[in-house]
Amino acid sequence: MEIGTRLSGEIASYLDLATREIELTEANMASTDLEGDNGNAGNIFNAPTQVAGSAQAISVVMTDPDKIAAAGLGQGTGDGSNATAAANLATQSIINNETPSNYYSNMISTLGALVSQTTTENTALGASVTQLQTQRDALSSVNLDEEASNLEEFQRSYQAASQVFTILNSVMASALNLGVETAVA
Amino acid sequence: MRVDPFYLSNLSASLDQTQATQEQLSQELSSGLSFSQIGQNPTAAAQNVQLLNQIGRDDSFTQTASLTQGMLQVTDSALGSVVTQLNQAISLATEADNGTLSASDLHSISNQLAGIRDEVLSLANTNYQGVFVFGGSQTGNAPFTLNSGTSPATVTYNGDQDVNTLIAPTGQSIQLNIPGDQIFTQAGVNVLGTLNNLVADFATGGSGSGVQDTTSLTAALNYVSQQRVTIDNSVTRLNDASSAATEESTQLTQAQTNLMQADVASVSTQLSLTQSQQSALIEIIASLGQESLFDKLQA
Repeated sequence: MEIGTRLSGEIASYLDLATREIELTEANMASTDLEGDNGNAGNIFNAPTQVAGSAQAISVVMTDPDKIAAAGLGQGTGDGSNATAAANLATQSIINNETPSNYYSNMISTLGALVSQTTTENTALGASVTQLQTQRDALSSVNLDEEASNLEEFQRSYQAASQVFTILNSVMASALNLGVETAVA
Repeated sequence: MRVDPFYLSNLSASLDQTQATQEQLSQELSSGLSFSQIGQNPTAAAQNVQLLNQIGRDDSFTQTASLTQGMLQVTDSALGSVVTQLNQAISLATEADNGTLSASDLHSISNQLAGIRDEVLSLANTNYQGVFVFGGSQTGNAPFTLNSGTSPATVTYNGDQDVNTLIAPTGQSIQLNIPGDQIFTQAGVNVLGTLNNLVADFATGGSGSGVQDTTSLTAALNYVSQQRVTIDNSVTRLNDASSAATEESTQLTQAQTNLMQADVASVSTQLSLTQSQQSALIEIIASLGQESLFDKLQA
């Protein structure tokens, strides 16, 4: 699986699960708000019906802070038992048998490890590309020694061919002048 | 030897890399943090989450404690005033009980006791920032109402028996209120009921059951003092817990600093090396640009 897919998949799963647990916990805490609305206090968040996509779909639906249900069911508005219960969730294993803090910490660790792994793989692949290029160049790129050798060879051939033409020229001149050697222009 | 066709692009890539390294090291120096992205140190990032969470809880508790201390102090102050009023009432009742006062004097004492009862009733209905502190969870309305239509007068408690607590980061549970009926109308040590009885005892110029009611009021006074100790203990525990939370927050912040702070000496050395590498690369690239095939064509 591609790193990018893993990254988005795993983190989305983490967030969806956490979001869903928050919503379920909230829905289970029937209670009383500051206006004395006993048992019918509105939710702070909306409540999608399934885990997948919860993190993306969650939104705050409460508009009046007086409607936060801090009091327990059947208690007066000055009661704080529901707020205390909500605060206690911070130390309870409510998400995947972990506390919210540990769950989030693990998500950060997983995300960081994935990013680190991706960076390492990127570096390794870059090194691999460089190595392969070097190997290819060792076989197919311009070899200065070969080129120098060939150049020397061609130069010598050229010189030899030139010498042949010089000799032929001299022979032809001698033939045309009936054996008298003269300079040929 | 074969010619590297990627010589220039490799040089450029190396320059990019040293530039990125230099930027990262400069960022570490300017921010004082050893990493700025979680991928650079996932373990430390995860530990930092835990530290931030605990620091946040400590700070939140400190703020809550600060707000709650005001309410507890008002409650304690009200109970202190009640004790003062009850001592005064006992003095008056004792004076009335000695049998030497005239009917007019007893009537006057009855009126003074009625004034004290009204003052105690007012203290029992103490309001702190819109919250009636002795109403249990029924904090929106005055918890006690007086009915003077009967003799003796009667007092009705409109609150409930709810007790709020504040949980400290250490898990300690701190009581934040005492229901009013537990203090002022508790059976056997009924403060307001006894005061009403005493008012009625001396209202007609006689002493009635004044002696017995004075004894009851003394018992009620002792009971109120005991209840006040609960609030005093809460104030002390809240202060201690708040101090502990502040201290813990400081320690956690230090731990966070130790976890994340950059080693300035090491980073400076690395930065210097990177800058040298970068200068060398720039020089090589510059020297390559000084001579080209086009120069040969011109010659």
